[in-house]
Amino acid sequence: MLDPRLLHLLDKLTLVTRGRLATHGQGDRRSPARGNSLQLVDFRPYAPGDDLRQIDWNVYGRSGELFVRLYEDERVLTVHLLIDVSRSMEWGSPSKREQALKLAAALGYVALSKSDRVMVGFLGDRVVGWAGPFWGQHQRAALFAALDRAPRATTTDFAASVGGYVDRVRSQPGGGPSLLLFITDLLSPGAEAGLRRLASGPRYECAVLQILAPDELDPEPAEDVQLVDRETGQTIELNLDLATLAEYRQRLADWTERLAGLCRERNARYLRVSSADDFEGALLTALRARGVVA
Amino acid sequence: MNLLAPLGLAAGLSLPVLVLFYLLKVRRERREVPSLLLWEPMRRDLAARDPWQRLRWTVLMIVQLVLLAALTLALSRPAAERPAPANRFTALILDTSASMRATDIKPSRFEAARAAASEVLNALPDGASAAIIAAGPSPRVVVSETTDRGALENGLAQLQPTDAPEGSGSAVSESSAGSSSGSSIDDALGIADALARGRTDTTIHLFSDGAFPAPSQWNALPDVNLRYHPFGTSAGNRAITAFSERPDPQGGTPQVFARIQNFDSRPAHVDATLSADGKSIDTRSLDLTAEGAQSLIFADVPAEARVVQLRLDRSDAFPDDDQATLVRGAAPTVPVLLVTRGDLFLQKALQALDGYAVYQVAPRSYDAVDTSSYGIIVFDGYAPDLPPTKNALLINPTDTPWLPLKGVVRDPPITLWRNDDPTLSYVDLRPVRIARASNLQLPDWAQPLIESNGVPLGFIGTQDGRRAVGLSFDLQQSNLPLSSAFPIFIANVMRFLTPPSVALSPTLAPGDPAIIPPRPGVDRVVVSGPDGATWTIAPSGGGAPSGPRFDQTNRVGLYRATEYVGSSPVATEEFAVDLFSPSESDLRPRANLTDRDAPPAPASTQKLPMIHEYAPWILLFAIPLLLGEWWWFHRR
Repeated sequence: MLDPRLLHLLDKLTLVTRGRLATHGQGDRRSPARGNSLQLVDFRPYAPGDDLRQIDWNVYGRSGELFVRLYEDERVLTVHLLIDVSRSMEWGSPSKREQALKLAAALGYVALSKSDRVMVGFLGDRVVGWAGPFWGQHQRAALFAALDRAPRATTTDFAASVGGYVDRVRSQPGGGPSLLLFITDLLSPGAEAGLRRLASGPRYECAVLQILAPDELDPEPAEDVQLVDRETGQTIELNLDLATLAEYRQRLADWTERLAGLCRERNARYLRVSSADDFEGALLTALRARGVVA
Repeated sequence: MNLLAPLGLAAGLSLPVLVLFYLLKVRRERREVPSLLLWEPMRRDLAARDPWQRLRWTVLMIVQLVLLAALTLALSRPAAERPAPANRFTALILDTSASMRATDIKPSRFEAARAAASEVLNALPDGASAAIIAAGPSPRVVVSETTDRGALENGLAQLQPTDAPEGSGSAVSESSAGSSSGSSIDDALGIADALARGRTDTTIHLFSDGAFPAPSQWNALPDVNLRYHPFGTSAGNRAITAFSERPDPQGGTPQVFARIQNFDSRPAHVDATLSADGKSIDTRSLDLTAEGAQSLIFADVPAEARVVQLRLDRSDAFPDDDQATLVRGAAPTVPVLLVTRGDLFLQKALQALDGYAVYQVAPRSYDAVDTSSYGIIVFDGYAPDLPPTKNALLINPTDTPWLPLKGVVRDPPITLWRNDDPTLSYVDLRPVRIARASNLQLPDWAQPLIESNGVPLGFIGTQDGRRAVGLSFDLQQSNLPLSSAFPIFIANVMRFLTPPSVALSPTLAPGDPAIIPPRPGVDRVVVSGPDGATWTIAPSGGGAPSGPRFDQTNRVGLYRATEYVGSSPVATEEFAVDLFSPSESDLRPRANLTDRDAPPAPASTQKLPMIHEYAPWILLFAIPLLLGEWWWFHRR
């Protein structure tokens, strides 16, 4: 799925979170909980039952009182890769679906390389598939295989699918989601409702990666065409003259700006990429620029 | 305006069909998009599944509607009836025979006829067509049917009368419908009728002095208006109607004979003056009775005089027949090319003949000789690779592709000869013995003349108008040159090979062509006429096989043909043109012709209105419109 040169590049990257996300399990990520890492964060008076190895004997020598050193607890970050597998993603050359799965594989690879846990959800009109959790570098191949077997959905219902995923994650023991990366084209009337569900969680960060094909960004003019919705089969008849195309581009700009504003309100990162972008160059550069990876 | 094909208007149904097409929605190209999310608000035609749409007027639709309307109109063949343009055809026949030169009407009958014809032309309505036909020695279309008045006037102005009698030639127009046995006027009427065929309003004007028999065609043209314009008075005329030389029965010098005729109902007195080579030698006074004639015999004309002329000194209205010219002396010689290695008998036999000039070349030089100047070629022991272009005598020809030899016959007895053939007249071949002869394979055009048991010893034939006589044996291999038959045979053969037109006839009728056989080497021949006019002709000009043809013999009198080599005259031949036509000399009108109107044309063909269709013009308008529509469609 990913060539070795790209993997070499990904080895140097790590997924960026803006805050310390509470989750379960121990990993390389700093946690608001106190743990056994080497990062000293505070002291507190000794209480019976505390680990005697944590008593700071230097403080006792100076003050004659027993204090216990409190270290930051390094926990595992759970990275949720939510991939839109609706039919609208099967568009372009290479298709948006292909690029979305490749991007998910790259981000999952980075997560697994940094001992993060990876969960994958395939979204359509609902959550049409799950994969994971994947934890540890040895499960990279399993992640790639799961992405290869990504199911296909016909239509999109972001509110239902995103809501369903969030509810399911919450119902699992160990807390809510941590870092949620949503890869989609956001071409659905319920995109805004879905983003609201996505960004409303208290304990996770969210990044939305919108993939659009070049034909969607800049469609070709045509006379007297019948446009057919790939997902619903609905048609409309239009004359794709220059004025109509200009109006379309304006609508697209307004739409993506509204989605980006919604993401900002929800403290989520938003990034729009083209499915024709060079993966190693433009795409990773954009991910770095948006602070998704570092 | 009428519609010749009203059913064509049914094509107008295509107009609402076209509008229907514009009301129907176009079949659009299906194009998939990932989602209609952003396109949906731009939907303008909310009734997407409605097959109809609102009619929108476009330039293309308007142009197409106009095109269909134009084509519908064209299919219905709109037409308007207009009065037919003047379909009048007028034929002007002018008599150009010699009698029209008579001056009883000043300046002459012909000039008066020309003026009258011009008046008729000027009186023609616009659009009427006319033709001018000259009826002289032969009918000739001077100006074909045209409405161009300038051309008609020009043709009329260039027309000149001749000295030739009426009807002495043959019809020259291909459109002549007249019988060749009729007079020139008859033929001219036939030509005019042929030109007028299919017309409903034809008038033939005949301008003539009536010095001809009543034309049979005059009453044979039922649908033609005939107008006869006579010119001339009943003026009397005296004419020389014969002038010739004949041998003296007593063996003296030849006598000159003349006949003077009075074409008048009153007696007349004339003086006839005879001159020899320009010198007056005798004058006779004659009292001619009414309609009478007298013969004159002049016995003491100098024998050496070459040109003898007779003139009537009492002038009348027609001077052309008051003179006669006689050119005496032997006919000009015919140049004969003898191609031989040398045969004394043959040379002597040819040179002994009067009227032939023998020029000899060796066979090896034959190809370098221009044979166009020779009248006859005699091949002795030689035959050219190609059939000769002149009449030829072939004696003992060599093997050639066109006259191959099949072998040799020794001591062939003469078993058959065609003594009924002119070449063997008075030729007795019985004592002739031949030692050796070639067995010739005769071509298709040759017949055996002398045979030996089926083997041709002599042949005769004509190929492409060229005559040929041949002997298949060498004269040296026979005793023929020693026999009395030989010079007779050679004379007969040369007479046969000499075409009648080769010799220059010393006396011609007006309009008769003169064949002038030039001597070999002559560059040009200059002919001077009786009125001082000169013509220069090339030795090979005129199209005649035997020499240049001179056909400007329209005036009576003495003509001189001078042959030039470079700038030096080498010979002068003379010939005379005399009228000798009692019918032309009798100037009194004879043809009792009256104007005749054609019966009115049948109603079905009379004054049919002319249908003028507009469809071509409509199509002419539609084609650029169609091209414009195509351009507009592709420009979008």
